[in-house]
Amino acid sequence: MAKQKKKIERTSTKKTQSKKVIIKAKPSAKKSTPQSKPERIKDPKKVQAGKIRQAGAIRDKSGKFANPILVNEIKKTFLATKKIDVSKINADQTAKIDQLLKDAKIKPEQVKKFYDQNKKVFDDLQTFGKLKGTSKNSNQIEKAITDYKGKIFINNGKKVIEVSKSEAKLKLISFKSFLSNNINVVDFTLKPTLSIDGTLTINLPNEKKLLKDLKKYFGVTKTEELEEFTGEEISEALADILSEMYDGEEDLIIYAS
Amino acid sequence: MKAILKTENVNAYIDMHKKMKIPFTLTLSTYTARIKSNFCDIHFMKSEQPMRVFCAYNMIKADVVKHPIKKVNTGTLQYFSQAFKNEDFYSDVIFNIDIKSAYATILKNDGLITAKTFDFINRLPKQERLTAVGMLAGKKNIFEMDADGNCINDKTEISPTADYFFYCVKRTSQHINKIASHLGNAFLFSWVDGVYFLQDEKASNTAGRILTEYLQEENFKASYEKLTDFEVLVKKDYYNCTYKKNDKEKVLNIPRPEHEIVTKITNHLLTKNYN
Repeated sequence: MAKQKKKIERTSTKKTQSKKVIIKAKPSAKKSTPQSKPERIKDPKKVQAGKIRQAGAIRDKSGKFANPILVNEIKKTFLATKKIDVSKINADQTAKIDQLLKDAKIKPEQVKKFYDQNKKVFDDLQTFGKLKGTSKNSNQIEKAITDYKGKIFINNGKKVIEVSKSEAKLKLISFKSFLSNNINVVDFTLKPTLSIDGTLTINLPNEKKLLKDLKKYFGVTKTEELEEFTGEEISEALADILSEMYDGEEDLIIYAS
Repeated sequence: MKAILKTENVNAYIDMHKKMKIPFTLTLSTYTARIKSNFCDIHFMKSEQPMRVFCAYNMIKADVVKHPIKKVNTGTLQYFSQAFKNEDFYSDVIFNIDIKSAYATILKNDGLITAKTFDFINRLPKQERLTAVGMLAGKKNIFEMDADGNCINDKTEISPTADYFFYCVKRTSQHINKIASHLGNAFLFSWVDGVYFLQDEKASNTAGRILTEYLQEENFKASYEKLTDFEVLVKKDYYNCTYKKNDKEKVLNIPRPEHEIVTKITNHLLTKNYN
């Protein structure tokens, strides 16, 4: 009943703004027409609360209120930055998330400020559903794969394939071994691509193809002949080959000794 | 059976197992690989390490285990630092100081190994010394492959002494950071146990002298080098540094600092539950 009244009040207000609006109030609610409606007395406390809510409201790049799931994702991210474990909370568990914010004495304005400061990152996440993550070295990537709870994909330079955790680790470690055993390379860093709905994509080239491309680059036929080149030359060649393989992306950086 | 560690050699054995439909385990570590099945057990090695390397490792291991240390958070270890100003940069001359036997000296200075062990390590050639200390952090990734060559399981074996190695990394970065703060504006960047800096060659109170005093106080030995044609190019994700050392061109890529929030969101998305 209360809900119905509220709906009528809203519709009635519209009428005062434009004559063309047709009021579709139910007969039982006729008493609440603008003619009979008493002037509303604003409760200062509620007005204040409204202002606070408004101040903390998150709007997307078009100025609309952001999708509640995205808002919850932002809240979760903010909680995570405060070292609060949100890994087991889903984005639709609003009450739980809000309780955690309350417990941590985090105000909505703080979350909004956090969002506003990083709007581009969140908007990209909302628009494209994915984010180019920060660089991680091989050990950090290995740990990330072990801990990851979504789907894992490898982009081998030719195609993107879904792999199991074990397969992803095998490809990562094999690539690392390939670099340290054939070429004098210390380690590498790469940027994983992460999606909001749980996919992790890693650029890991196929070693056979990489070796073939390296030989072609230096005009040699045997792998042993690559040893004649310095770490600097190899690292420069790898950078060129990888850049071509991944359409100019520089996610994979190799560090020669 | 033993063989030389080359990608082509290892792949030949993997392909052979796939063709013959034989399940196998593939073990990979920094300098070795092993394929074990009902058909064969072959060890691939980059090069055979001399016995003295294993002796040095065993001496270090026997010493360090007598001194329990706290677990080191490997996620926060610093291997490099830089003070570039986000713009391309050139200098005719810069200087570089490398701490000699940094990890072994830290183990000795911090009382984790004896003077006798330290002397033994120091008599080894540089590469063998690095290998002996690096063995502290030995790690093996073991992959179980089915008859079709698909990886169906994996496990990781990490040496129980790994934290002593990471302790060395941590302590080295602490010293490097102190050196950087002593150098102030002269500091350019650091890479593991090396510091690169600017200084006026003719000045009496040079950055080099400050560093010598600091390192002497801390019982370190170091080597100094003059580098020429130092150039920094700002790339999207890293600084590309090139210079000449004894007329030989060198390249170092130093990662640029990451956007703090992107780091936090990355870590959040990597650890969140998607079920």
